[in-house]
Amino acid sequence: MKLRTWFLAPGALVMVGLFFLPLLIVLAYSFLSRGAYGGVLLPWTIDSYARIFDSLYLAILWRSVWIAAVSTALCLLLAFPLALYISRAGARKTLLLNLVMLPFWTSFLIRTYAWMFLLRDTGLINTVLQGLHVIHEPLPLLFNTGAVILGLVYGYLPFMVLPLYATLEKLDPALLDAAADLGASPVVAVWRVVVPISKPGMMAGCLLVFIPCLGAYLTPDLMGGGKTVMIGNLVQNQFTTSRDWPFGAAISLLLMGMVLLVMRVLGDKGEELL
Amino acid sequence: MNGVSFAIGHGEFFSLVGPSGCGKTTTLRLIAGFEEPTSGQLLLDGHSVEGLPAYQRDVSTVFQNYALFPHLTVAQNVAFGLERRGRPQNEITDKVGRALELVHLSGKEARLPNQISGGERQRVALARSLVLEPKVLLLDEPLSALDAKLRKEMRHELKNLQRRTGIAFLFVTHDQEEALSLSDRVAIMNLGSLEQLGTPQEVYRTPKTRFVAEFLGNVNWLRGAGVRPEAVRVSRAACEGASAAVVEAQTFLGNCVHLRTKLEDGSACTAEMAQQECDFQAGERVYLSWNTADEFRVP
Repeated sequence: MKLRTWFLAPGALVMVGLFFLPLLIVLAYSFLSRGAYGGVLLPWTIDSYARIFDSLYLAILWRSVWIAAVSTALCLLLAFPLALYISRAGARKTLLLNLVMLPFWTSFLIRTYAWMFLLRDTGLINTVLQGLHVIHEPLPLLFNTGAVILGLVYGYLPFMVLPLYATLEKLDPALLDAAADLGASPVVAVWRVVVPISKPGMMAGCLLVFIPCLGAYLTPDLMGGGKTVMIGNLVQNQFTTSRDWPFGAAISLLLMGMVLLVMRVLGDKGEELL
Repeated sequence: MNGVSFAIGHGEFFSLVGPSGCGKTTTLRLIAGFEEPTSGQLLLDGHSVEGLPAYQRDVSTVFQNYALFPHLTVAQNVAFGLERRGRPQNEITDKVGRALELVHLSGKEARLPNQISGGERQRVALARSLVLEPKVLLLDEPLSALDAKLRKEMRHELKNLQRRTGIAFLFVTHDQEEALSLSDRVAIMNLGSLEQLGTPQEVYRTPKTRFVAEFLGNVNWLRGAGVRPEAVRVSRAACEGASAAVVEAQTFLGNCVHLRTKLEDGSACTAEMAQQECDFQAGERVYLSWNTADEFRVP
């Protein structure tokens, strides 16, 4: 065997054993019938897939897509100026980049709880606002869709900033001089030159944010208080309380299909742009 | 930078030349509006452009590495400035077509910058600026990214373009040959200040400082005066006013030969001559002479 084959082997073994085979198991489960206390039974059936078209589940799918889309869009809006600023920050670049990545030093779960402590009725924000007599009743900041989007934007913003920074950092500053020289104001120069050139970075960032947002489980569960159900929560529910493994498996595969579709669409566009 | 003052005439080809770090590119960036001077005045057509941002100045720059927009086609690059000025679409199409014709790029409109050669990119950059008919075209070492052969070709083309368009060119280069061969007038800069300003003939033949003399070409410093090697005549026969010298070596330079000699007072003198005329041997005794009109003195 060639040396390169040996290099490939450990990774390939992990992928086959821990990803591909379990995926096949999930695929098999999705075509079986549910057992009374969980698990799966024969006969083979496509019932689980048929049930997805129930309006209740379609609504959850739709909600997941738009929450993920809105969160991605917000991340892009916030990250672009930030990444542009960092890429032009000279000697402070490293410091600023480290600050962007600083949240990763703490578990996502703990950071989500921290947000809950800030946002809940007796949390910091409501307490301060009430103490200042700005409001009399606590604002409903937590356990709604807005809180879920906030949590997702907060959690995935670095994944948008980093690829954007990577493209913007490579942008030749002479291009901005050239745009100004040809009569473009700074805003027009950014819109006509920087934005189009950084499209590959935006595509990468959008993929990196949209995909985990679409399958988000922790954030809607904690920040949404179980009221904003997304696909991830639905899957979790099927394998626990509902004890419907085949249906859970079918939704998991559906989620995977949706992600592949998004990657395909954005990926093709990205290639066109390049 | 200090004490840099000059005026460029309408339709003039003006060069700023000097070693790297002499302030020539900074001067250009000040005029373009990319940098602000701490003091001093900048007039364009008699009006101060102080505080006017780059995008409102009626000058245009051809950048060293062209700075073409990689996501736009050749035609879109050239149209960029006209679009920013809000010109009507038919006028833009018309002017872009003519500008590309001017730089011999018709037929390449739909190419992207990475699909054309370095020389072609240079032309796109020229067209992109010229199409705006700026009061002054600023060229920042525009030929330095091209290979030697292309560089010579583009020189002629630049000169031609300047004559045909009648736009004033401010050409920044570290290459004295480029500056001398292209310009109506040349400004030589060193260490942030202006050393001398004049026609190529003036600055080459009567340099005012030692730096200018040596930057623009080879110089023999003999008895306090400078003489260019090509002005030195070498003969075997002694004649009126000639200095005796001994041949040390000769260097073949392709189009000519440099004959290195040593005068009796120990100073070195190089003479330039055609290869056919050079039959001198090392160690041979020769006589050097030159016209006093070819001599120059510097402080």
